[in-house]
Amino acid sequence: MIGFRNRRKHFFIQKPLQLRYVLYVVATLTIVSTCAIIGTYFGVWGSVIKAFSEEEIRETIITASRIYEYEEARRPKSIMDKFTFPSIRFFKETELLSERQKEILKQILDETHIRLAWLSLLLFIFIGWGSIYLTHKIAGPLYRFSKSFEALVNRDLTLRIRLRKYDEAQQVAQRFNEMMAYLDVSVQKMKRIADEYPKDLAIEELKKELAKFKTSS
Amino acid sequence: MLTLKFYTLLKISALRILCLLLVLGISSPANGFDLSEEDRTLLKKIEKDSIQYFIKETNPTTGLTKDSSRAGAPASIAATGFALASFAIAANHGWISNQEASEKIKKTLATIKKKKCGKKGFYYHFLDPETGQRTWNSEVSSIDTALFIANALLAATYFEQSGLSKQIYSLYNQIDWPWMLNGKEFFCHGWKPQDGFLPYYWDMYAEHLILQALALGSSTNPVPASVWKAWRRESELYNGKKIIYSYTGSLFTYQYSHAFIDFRNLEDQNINYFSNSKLATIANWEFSSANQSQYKTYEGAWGLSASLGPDGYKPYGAMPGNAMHDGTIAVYAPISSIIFTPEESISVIKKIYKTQSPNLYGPYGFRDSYNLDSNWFANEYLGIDQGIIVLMLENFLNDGAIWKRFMKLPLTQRWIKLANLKRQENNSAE
Repeated sequence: MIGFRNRRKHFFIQKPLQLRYVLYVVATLTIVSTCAIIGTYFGVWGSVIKAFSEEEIRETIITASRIYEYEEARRPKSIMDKFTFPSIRFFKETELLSERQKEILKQILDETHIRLAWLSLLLFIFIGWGSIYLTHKIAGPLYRFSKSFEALVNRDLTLRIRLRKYDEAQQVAQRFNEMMAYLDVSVQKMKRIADEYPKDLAIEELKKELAKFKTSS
Repeated sequence: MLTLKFYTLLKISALRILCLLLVLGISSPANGFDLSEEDRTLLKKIEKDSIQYFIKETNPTTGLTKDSSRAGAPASIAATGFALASFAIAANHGWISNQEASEKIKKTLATIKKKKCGKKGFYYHFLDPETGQRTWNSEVSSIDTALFIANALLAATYFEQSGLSKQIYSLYNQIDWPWMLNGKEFFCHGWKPQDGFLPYYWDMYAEHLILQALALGSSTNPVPASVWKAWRRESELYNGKKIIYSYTGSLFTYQYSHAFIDFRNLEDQNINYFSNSKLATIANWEFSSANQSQYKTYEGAWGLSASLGPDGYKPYGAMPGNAMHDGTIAVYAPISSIIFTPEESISVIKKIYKTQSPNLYGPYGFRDSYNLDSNWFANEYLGIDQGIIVLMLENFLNDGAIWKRFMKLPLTQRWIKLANLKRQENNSAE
């Protein structure tokens, strides 16, 4: 039951702020995912399509044939070689082609891994920078508020919060500054009463002034 | 005043004489062959154009060079090695700047160092030119690693004062040569992660002499001298010439090691491999001539070596050896034989250039091969074939410039000593 008591009744406490942040996160993730998907898709398939294009296949077959001929040219012949069949050449060339295709696919995979690693690094940097930027918009004002509260504890009523143009909590800062201005004026007034008014009148005026403040006791 | 003028004139004259001597000295062909200015110009053009292959077909990011100019071709570690040497040679001639050459070499070395391009210091035969990763299920190759390292060490001699040399030697010193023996006395062709060592070994004469030299000459991980003795030196007579032959009889097997090592004055068990290559080249030419009636491509042309052909890449060759042939001539073969048979090579180069240029000569020099009987012309260049052209022409046109650099290396001297090769005095290599 206690859990239900603490449950929020509205998801949007401050709608513009929350919607803005939803937009930031969704936009960032969409851009990042799109880049990753497009990059990987075209990277992998681009390499596959290129490697298995008609021209490349033709060249690969010619090279397989050439490599076989090189190997044969170096191999000392035996009497049995006179009885070999042309199909043996075909099988050996097929074996070479198969090995080459494995190499090509491994190369494509290796390239993809490298590409993904770079992409991940870029995304990490991008997300890191984005997070710092976004949190800075909140962390900055919070820091200012904290400093102002400290000043208030030290009874300094001259301090005002000045936020940067795109920082969050502009309204809160404005309210805070209004409160500080009111307190400042009020205390200034009480000081003047205490300094300038005759004692009996001063007590009367101060009481009136202090009555405006609601306190715990 | 008069004395001062006299001394200035004397200085200028001395400088002129020095320049003249330098020009004559530097540009004299290997073996003292009398080369006409016209022929020199053509050969220089071929060398310069062939270097363009490495400038254009090397990936600007990874510094890895494509196996062939065909689109989609993988990078080859041997072609990448030839690129390093070619950049150094090009810079030495002023065809590219020193800075450009060293930047290109740095990129390659950085990729080789950064990527897992092999095992135990050996490299995969084929790499992805974009990423430097192993490709096409290729093997860690002993001979291709040797060609890469030999070329890299050669390039290092052009940049001795820079950090490049240190980096290259670090790669060389990391190679665990004994591992590639797989417990035997022959070098294995290679190793694959899933299958282990390949079942083929360098057990007879072929292009692996450079692999042997690098492995025996290593100061960090040498193989025992017995490895040099172990491989078979099988000989056969062809037209009365006794030749230590390679299995395929392909000309390149008599050329690759000879691009780096000056075998002219070295004797191994009464064999002079320079003379042997010369005989094998003549045999190749004679074999083509003998088959002129069968293939019209051989009329006045020769050069049977592993290359592209109408039916794909084949280990073409002549006798002695397997002698597979179908009328296809590998253009790099007679060019790279120029140190052995200058007259015959120049003659065929001029003929091919004159008659086949429209179909065969392109921005990187000669394309790989042609076959008139099938009316077929290669439409691509192979990296290692362009590489051997560059090195052999550099040797021929500049008085053995590559040999001089490579023979000076301490590793070469260690190999000569360990292999117990005898130095012959002023061998004419006839």
